[in-house]
Amino acid sequence: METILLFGVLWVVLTVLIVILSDTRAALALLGLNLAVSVFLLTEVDIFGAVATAISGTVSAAIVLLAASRTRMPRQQLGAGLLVLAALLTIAISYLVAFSLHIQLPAGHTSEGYFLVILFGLSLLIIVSQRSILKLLLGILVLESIATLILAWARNAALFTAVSEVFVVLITLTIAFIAIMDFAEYDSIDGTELTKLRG
Amino acid sequence: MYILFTLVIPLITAALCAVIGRNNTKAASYAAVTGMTFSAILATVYWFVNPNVSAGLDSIATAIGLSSQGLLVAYVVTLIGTFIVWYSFSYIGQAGRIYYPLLLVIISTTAAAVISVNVATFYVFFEIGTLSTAFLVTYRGGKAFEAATKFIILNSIGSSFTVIALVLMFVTYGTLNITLFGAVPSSAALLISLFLFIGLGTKIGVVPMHSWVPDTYSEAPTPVSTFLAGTVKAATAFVLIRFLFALHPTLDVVLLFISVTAVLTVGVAALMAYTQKDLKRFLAYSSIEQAGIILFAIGIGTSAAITGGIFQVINNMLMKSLIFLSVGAVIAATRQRHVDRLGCLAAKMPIVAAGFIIGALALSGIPPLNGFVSEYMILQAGFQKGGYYPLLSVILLVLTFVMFAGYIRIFQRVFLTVGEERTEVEVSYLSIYIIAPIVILSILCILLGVFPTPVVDAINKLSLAIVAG
Repeated sequence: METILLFGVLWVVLTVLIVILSDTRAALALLGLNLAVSVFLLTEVDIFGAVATAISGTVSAAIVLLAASRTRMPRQQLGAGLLVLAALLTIAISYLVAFSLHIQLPAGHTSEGYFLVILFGLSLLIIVSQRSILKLLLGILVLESIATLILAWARNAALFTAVSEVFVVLITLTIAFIAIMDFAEYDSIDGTELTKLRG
Repeated sequence: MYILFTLVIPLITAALCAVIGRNNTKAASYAAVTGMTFSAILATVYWFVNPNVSAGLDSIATAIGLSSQGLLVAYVVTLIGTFIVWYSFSYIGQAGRIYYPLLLVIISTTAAAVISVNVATFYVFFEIGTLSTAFLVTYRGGKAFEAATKFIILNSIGSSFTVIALVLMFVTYGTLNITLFGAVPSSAALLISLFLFIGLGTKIGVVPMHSWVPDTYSEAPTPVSTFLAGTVKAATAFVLIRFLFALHPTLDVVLLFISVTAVLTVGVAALMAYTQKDLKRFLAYSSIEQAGIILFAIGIGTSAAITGGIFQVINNMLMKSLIFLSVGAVIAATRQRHVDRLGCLAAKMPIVAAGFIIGALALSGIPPLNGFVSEYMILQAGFQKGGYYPLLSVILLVLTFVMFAGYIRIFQRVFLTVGEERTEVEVSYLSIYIIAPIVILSILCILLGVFPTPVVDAINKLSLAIVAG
């Protein structure tokens, strides 16, 4: 119980940092989140899951960092203060949702379930509140981390874990490549601005 | 045996095209046409002549989580894929070395995804198809990168929802094989159903996750947008049917939610389509409308509705491909896709005009074409179900008339009357590789409308198996 509380709070703090920080620093926060997930899996004696998450988490964070170095982050849609407020509000709403659904959370994983619902809420906040394509990618990667954590509840999940982690890296690679190409073509990775190009 | 024509031959051909294409793009395009044609012939022989023939590959297929259930849909995917490759041969010409390998990968992974009964296997094919599509959308560069951005971001969000649903399935049922799922408490089924619907619904283009569809279909090369609109979308809807009904019990609240979303999807798409002046954007919205009709069948949830829904999946592959390829032929011959710059093309391109109107009438559910049979079956099932469904069926019917008006408006302006800009439209020669798929698909739309019974009987067995679990 204490372990999950410790890790849960750490995951939430790191995800809030992804919401607030710039592309580069948010990628480092993602690296922290992935490593925290990996260490948690290690405490759950899911060695394969821990290693796979550590590798894919490090590689995807490195890809985002590389893409961030080759692009320019667009101006944030919301100020840092507003983002912190939105994050706190999201945590509160997610907690209420988890509380109202808690009977549906799997037995033995209720505490984890609460944190996963909060992570889910925060990942949706990243997706709806950010303009940078790389930030949207980070939101998607937080969603993928939730899948990794749920997968740890299953037995004999090594193959599925391996497959999903490989695709995490491939998705990151594809979106980062397209972001770099967008920047080369339009001098911007601002999702809102790119959409306006079409009228 | 089926793994050979759905997966092995197209993938070997893709690898061959990638290798040959380095030095000789012309040889690569010939290899793609030959490989896919061979695959389609083999599939047809398997399907019609001797379904008991085996190449000793069935055990491999079972081991990797493929099943012969849904093979009819996989066969149609392979067939349409072959037409798309023929069409590309003339439309794209000597494409760069990535075009044909990526196209063949998308065709084979789509065919394999519809026969996957293992959630991990399905996920692999689903993701490979999505990532390959993103690169293929960027093929023309320029504005296509923006369309690809929208495609990959929204579809990756959808993929994340899908993978969470698949992982929840695995954790809840303790097996990856959907045919072995038993009854579970409704709470887990509710969560899985919603994540699955949002995830796969994004790829299908359900409102409000549809915004990538018009941009992607209008910027991707026409053969690619044809395959995405006609086949990938319908195949994903078929997968949704199989995975959703593998959950026991299938919840009424989820089905009603899907039905309402379906009607909303048809409404938004029909109204948006009516205002479009770009031919490809018009068709993109019409493909969203068609997806809504299939979803409505899923939402009704009875075996009669699922039979109609699966028949609509197959018909959508044929009708939508037909109308997209007809519009592609107009664009190829005139280098124009804006309605106001086109006009009076029926006399200059009679086969293409016939293909367009057959496709439009079939999509609108006008008898005696195939779309009529499947849409009638779906609406009839809606009226039979009772509750809110008769009302939703009536709304759906009215909205399909709006879409029908849109098709007629486009047909009139492109093929019959002089365009608003009143310029004489120059029409260039169209090769047999463009005309042949249009003719074959037109014939199939008529044949399946006049003689639907053999296919409906085959689908009926499948839908009973799906609904009964």
